[in-house]
Amino acid sequence: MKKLMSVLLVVAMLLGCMMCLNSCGTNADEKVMTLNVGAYPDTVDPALNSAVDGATYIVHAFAGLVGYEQNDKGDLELVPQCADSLPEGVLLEDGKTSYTYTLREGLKWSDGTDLTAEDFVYAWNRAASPVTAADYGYMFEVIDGYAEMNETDADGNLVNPDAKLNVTADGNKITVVLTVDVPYIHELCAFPAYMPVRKDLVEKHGEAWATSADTYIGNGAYKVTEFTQTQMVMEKNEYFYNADKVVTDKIVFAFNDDDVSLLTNYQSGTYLFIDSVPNDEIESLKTGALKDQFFIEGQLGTYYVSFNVNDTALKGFTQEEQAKIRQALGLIIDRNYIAEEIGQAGQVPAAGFVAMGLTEPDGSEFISKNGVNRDGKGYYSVEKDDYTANCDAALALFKEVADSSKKFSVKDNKLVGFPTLTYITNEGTSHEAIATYLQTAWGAYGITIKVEVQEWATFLNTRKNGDYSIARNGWLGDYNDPISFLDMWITDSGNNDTQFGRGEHGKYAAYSYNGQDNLTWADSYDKLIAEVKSSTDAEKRFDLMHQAEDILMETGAICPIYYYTDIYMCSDKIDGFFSSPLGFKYFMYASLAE
Amino acid sequence: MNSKLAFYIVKRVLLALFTVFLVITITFFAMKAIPGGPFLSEKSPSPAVTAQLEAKYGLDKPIMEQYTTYLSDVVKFDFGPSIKNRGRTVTDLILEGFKTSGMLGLEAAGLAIIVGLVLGSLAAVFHNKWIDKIIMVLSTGSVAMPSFVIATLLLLAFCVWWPIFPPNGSTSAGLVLPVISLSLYPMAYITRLTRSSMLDVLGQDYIRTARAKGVSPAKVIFKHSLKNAVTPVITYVGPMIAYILTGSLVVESIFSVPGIGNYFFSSIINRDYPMVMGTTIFLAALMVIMTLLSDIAYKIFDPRVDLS
Repeated sequence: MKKLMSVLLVVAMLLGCMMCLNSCGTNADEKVMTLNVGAYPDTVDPALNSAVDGATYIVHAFAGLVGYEQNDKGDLELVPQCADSLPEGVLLEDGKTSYTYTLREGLKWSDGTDLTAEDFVYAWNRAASPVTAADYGYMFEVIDGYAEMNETDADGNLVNPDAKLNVTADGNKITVVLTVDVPYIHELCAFPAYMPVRKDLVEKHGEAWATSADTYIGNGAYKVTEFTQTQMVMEKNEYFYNADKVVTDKIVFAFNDDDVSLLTNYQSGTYLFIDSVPNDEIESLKTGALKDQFFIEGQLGTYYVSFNVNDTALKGFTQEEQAKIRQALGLIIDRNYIAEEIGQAGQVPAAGFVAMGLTEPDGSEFISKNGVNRDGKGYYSVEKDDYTANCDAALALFKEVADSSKKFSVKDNKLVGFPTLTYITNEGTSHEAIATYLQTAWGAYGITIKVEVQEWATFLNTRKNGDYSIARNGWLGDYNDPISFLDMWITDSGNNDTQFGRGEHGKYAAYSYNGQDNLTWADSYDKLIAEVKSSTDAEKRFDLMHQAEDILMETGAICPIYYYTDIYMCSDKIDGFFSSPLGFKYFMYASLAE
Repeated sequence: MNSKLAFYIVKRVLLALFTVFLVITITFFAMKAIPGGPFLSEKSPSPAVTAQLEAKYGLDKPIMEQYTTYLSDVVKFDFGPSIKNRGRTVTDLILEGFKTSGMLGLEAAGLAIIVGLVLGSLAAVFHNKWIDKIIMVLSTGSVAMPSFVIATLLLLAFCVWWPIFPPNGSTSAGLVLPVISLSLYPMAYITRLTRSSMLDVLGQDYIRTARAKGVSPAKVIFKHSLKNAVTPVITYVGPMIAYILTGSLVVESIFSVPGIGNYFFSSIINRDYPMVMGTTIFLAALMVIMTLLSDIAYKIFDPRVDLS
């Protein structure tokens, strides 16, 4: 027995040693705000980042000419940051518009060196250059010179490799010339891609400058003091122009993107903020003990279903018939059911493609004027009571097509002989649940839908190449202007997944623009968008954008399901936190209660 | 005999290199054969940007040229830059992740071997007593349960019900539960191996002789029995490393341990070609080396093993 005891003792000691070895290095007394907004980021280089979590880190470590703050009423507002005020645009003789921002006095980088107007000019040129190959390079599209910079010849080589943006630094002034005045220029200046970066560091370390705390120097409220694959530690930056308002000394952004693990960490108090929760926990979180810490906010985005306008499965039908089929399929979808039973996160059923939260020149919401009658009722009704009427309208459309095409018939409210269609989606519980719902809903009318779940990159590839019939889709706007939802549908756009204006659809002339009817996509939609982009009259611009949405919805190829919402949990210990409709989270002025 | 061992080692090393070469070739072409590419996302970059990116990572060249360039880089231990994590090299990312994964694996292996040997010996010495029975029930249970089930149960018990440990493996205290969940299966296996080979050894004539001569029971167990009983355990080290490697991919994701497992999945999803190649080669090489070492150790511990 003694022997047994001694052996057990040895085992206990070994285990003890291991535990001790493991627990070294954590200091339980330190007061820090540990938060989570995502996994280890792909990049935190302001120019290269295109992710929402990356943007959150960047807005803490950098400050642009303009930035966001929360006013006393709790609303988000654009305020000058590095600039001393928000300038008015000046119309130039050649029709272009210039904005001159004046920098505040005494701006410094977090290592104490001076921040100059040149730093902004360098950063903007770097981010816009195709050589940098940034996903968000096109955010500089409105600036004069961008087109020349990005012009390529037939072989894909740059025509003007030395071209620069029309942005100049003069002392503490930065003058930017826009090809056409855009109302959202100040908002662009608050976007991460517009943040200044250090030329010396980028030139010395290349893209690696943004991968280590030693070289990742910013000018924001916080400076990064540790950056590993586990976490990013930020400490208050004494050189920040508004440092007096920053009250929390240290923020730790822990990297983790496993929903279940996030919630466990939040519940155990390890994280004070998490940016996502497991889908099947949403209902219980909304009503449970933590309901006051569970938030659902609007986000600039739309979840939708896209139809391929050159779908081979519907080849036997004319383009006009195909459009009717797509519209009918769209009408059969019960968007309230999807939002309430599948999404469960307060998603708003969508009656148009351009999302909620975008503002008209008169301050009202863009969606309050959508729909062909401009009454905000959308392009079809999403009222629960109107669902049956929608289905009846869908049947009527199917009957029209059946009569004109003679390729199928409608008997007892069911389609007989209608071709089988394939719906593709990527993996994901709610995406797949929506696919199953659509299969059932359309199946009730005798339409056979094959659901194909594809792995993410394969899915993107299939959708982009137009090798599909119907696909899940989603879009998040980049800035507060509807054009962010509309210019992606021009013929040559890289995001034109529906293949508008390409192949057979390119020859189909049935759209209207500028009082003319029966125009092709290139002569209608493409020109309409070009006019929006060159228009300086705000009212007219918005009217044209509503017209563009009319054309999009007329095709039936874009079938909106719901407007996105942003879910997060924030501890009641945190005060002064706010988030933007783009999903960026701001903790720089937040304080931590004891 | 020594030259025979040297020849054996050389042969095995060459074979190992060939295995790694095969892994590289198969992974390279399989990876390129799956549709999609690293620059696709919900929002596509413009054609000018895509062209610049392809040129930057050499993806605009013919596939055979990409393959030969890659092979010649690998020989120089240059695994290239990560496409997804801009500004980071594959080697950097793997080594940083491996610091955590290696620690996790080593601790799990150490714990499994030490506790397994002790429990196995106890069970054999107290054969058919209650200790033996309890140990056997526990080890059968652990062998039957996959690591992800154990991990989930541990997470529930020690992070939610009794929050003793943090639920994420990013701190060192957070590594305790992942280590335990990873080590339980090999621990149970080693316990059973040790028990049966100890029982075998304890029944041998020379043990009876030793006892008859009056050698102390401790000496009989530790010197005469355990040393001889440990050989089968050494053969298990290779498969155990394999188990821990594959098991850690799952356990790391359950406890969000910032290890190499993360990259293994995400690089494939992102089509981060250099990263896919890097992680695969790294894990394959590690596996080959470990198996090789365990084979050689086996030979050294038991001279009766025929190497030919």
